[in-house]
Amino acid sequence: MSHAPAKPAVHMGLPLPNSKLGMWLFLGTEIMFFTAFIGTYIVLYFGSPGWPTDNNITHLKIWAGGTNTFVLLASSYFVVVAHEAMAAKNYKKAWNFLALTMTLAFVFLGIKAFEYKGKFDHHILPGQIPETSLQAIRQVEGKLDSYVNETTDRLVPGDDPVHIKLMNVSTAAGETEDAGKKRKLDDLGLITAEFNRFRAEVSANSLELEEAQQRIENLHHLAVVKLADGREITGAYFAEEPPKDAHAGHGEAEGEEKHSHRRETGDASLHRPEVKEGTHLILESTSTTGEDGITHVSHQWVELKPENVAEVHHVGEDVEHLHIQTVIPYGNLFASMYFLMTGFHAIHVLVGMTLFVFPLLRGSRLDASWADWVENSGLYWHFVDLVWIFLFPLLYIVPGNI
Amino acid sequence: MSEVSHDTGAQAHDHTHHYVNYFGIFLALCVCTGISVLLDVFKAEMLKSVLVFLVMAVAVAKALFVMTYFMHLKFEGAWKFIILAPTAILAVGLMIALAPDMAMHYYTNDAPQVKWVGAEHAEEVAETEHSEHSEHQHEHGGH
Repeated sequence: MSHAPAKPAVHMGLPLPNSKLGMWLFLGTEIMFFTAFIGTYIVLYFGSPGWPTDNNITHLKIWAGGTNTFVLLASSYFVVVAHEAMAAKNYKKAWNFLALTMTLAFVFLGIKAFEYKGKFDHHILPGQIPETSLQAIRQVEGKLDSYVNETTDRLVPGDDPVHIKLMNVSTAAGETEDAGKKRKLDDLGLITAEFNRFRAEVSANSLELEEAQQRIENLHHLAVVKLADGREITGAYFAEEPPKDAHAGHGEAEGEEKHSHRRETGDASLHRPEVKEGTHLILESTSTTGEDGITHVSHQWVELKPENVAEVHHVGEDVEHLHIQTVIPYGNLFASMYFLMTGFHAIHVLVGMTLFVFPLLRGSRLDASWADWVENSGLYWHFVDLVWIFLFPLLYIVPGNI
Repeated sequence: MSEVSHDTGAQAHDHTHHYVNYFGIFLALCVCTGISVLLDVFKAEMLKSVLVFLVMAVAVAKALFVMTYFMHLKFEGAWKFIILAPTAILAVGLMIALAPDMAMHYYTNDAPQVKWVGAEHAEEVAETEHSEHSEHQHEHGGH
């Protein structure tokens, strides 16, 4: 053991320096701190049938966790060697091993950051995950609502509140001189109309998850398509090849043919047929007013020959980032526990790194007076390693197998 | 700086008491981690409960290695028990105290998530039952 029993300031009758006793007492509280998390995690896992365990859904990567385990073990080894070197009064060697420990701590946090980024990219975040079909549909409805409100507020001039501005989108489009802004306002009007229809369906609770997904897919593909014969169709537009390949001149001869491909079904807009090779598909909506005075809107998928398509203006691209998230039962509890445990562990890694900064800053002046510091921060670092030793199997391997 | 260059072998002389082969411990810990990962890779080959037991046993072994040698508990006095026993008891007690409410309740969990999972699984169960049923029919046809 390294500690030269320099006379402690207060003699407590224990054969160890006060600082070390303090560190061990602190580690005792730390054990309770982390077992509270781990215990809660285990208990919540068993209390939540259907807890997410599929790594494709949770985006937990065994190689990342395994590598980080190795990185922490190696850093733990370097700390203990640094401590040995301090005892042997080989301060240069101790400094080098502390520097290696620090480097590995950065590697650990780098891999952790990579894993966290994956979680953020897939919205595996506490309070952000839909756990039922309805939540998934309501969530995208809320996002679209925010988009429509914010965009309206930004594009329509004036100081009116948003609900007034929403009614003035087409007026503003008619009044503006700026062609680019007019187009944006027109797009916004189209998106808002689609969204209002979606919202009405959601309020009426008439959409299954798959149908809502089709609605949102249609919205993402919303486009204003000019045909070679001069007609303009606004609707969900699915093209296999880029529309720029279409040549305007060739379309007219085939103009009649496309109408024969119309599909007449109930609410066709909710069931998109496959896009056949060499054709484009558009959802055409026609409204007819019956004798009873009620306007009926019917939708049909129309196949277009690419050469009949003169120009495509994609409207739905603006909302392509708003989509229906994967339903993960108990995903929010999972995400909470994941970030709670790994987050607090990462904070401990940061604290450990801070402890190592001080002896490292001494450089070649590192001397015997730092022996206790290195030993105690080493103890802390081993504890950080210990926590990860348990977190790794409990998060990455055991779930789904018990 | 002059002392740095010539004392590479000083460690063995200076550090006579409690010699530990730290690198050996480190290798053992690496082997343990490798076993954990291998267990995950080959988890389809074994009983799930055996897998969990082995993985947690490996974790406990690693923890004991770290505590015994890296944290020098093997060489510390009896004070280690005074400090660590209460915290260990409280830590385990917490889990035991939490368990009944979350995992051992008498009632059926009818949270919406459970219903969602139930609906998903109902289809799977129906499919497997169907295929098992047709397999039975095949067997009967064979007789």
